[in-house]
Amino acid sequence: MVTHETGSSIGGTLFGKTRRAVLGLLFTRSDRRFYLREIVRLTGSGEGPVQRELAALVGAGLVTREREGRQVYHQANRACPVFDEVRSLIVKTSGVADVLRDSLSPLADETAFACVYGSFARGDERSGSDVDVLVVGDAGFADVVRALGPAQEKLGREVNPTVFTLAEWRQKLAAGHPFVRDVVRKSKVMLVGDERGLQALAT
Amino acid sequence: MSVDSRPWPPRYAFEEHQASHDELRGLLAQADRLLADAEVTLVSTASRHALAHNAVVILAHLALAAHGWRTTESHHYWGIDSLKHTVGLSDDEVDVLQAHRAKRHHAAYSPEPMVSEAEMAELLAQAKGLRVRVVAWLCDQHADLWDTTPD
Repeated sequence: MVTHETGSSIGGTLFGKTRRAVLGLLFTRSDRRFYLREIVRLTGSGEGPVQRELAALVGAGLVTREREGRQVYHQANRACPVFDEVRSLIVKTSGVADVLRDSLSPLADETAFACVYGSFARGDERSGSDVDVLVVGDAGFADVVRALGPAQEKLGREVNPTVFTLAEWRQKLAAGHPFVRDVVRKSKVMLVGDERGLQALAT
Repeated sequence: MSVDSRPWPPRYAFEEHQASHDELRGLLAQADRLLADAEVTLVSTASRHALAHNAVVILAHLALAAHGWRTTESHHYWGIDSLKHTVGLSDDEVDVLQAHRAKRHHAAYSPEPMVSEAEMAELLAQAKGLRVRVVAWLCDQHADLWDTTPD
């Protein structure tokens, strides 16, 4: 059975559109700083609303502001006491996961499970880190690469898919294949389906 | 296909090259050996995937050489990219081959290489299809250099 967990409404419920976009950008690329016009361009939001959100986020200590010459830079504040929690929430609802879910939606009927694994799911990604995505179902590798193309552009990172058929996933899970075992055991962010279902395929 | 107005090929990654008939035939023979090896089921899926990828790169360099060029750096990336300009692969087709290239690279240097059987089979089918397209293109566009002897 193909099950879907969109989760995209969580981000929309918790945050307004512009805040969600700004947090999504700054907290999924927390290794770098952005100047205002860059944030406006990358989030596709208006300059006024972005300025207001940044002022609020700086005021709350979630984002730092740094002036250098005539340019003002903003960056997610790693020293903020709730940085890890906010980042985790953003990745799961409004950042990377949201973008990837949107990109994979044309393949909904062919996707049983999909998740982000690796450094991004663990929260220890670096500036050059790729986003590792697992897709299990009937979709082909070429279909998944094409579907994820827009996500790569939006995220500004390489997205590396690994695509399994359900039969091969089941077989490798049952055989204790190191890669499959690691994905199941370690941190991941579900994009399609739920974690228990992904693990239960071996039984 | 997107329209790219920049001149091709970029001179920092390519140089002019006068290919010979023997060189082109040698490259095709090499691609055929790699494709045959990629069919061997005794080796791992990741190795078969790497062999199919290498066949794609050799076929790309074969077409590029017939076109009068060779790469000077990032040979796998630029070789695959050149297929848009030689045999006329679409941006989509090249993007998929580049994704396989990235996967092959990760698999080569990762302690836990992961290439699924489906991914390997898909690339092998693409590589075989590319071989057909490259030979047809050579017969059509570079018959003087290639000759029209059936393969």
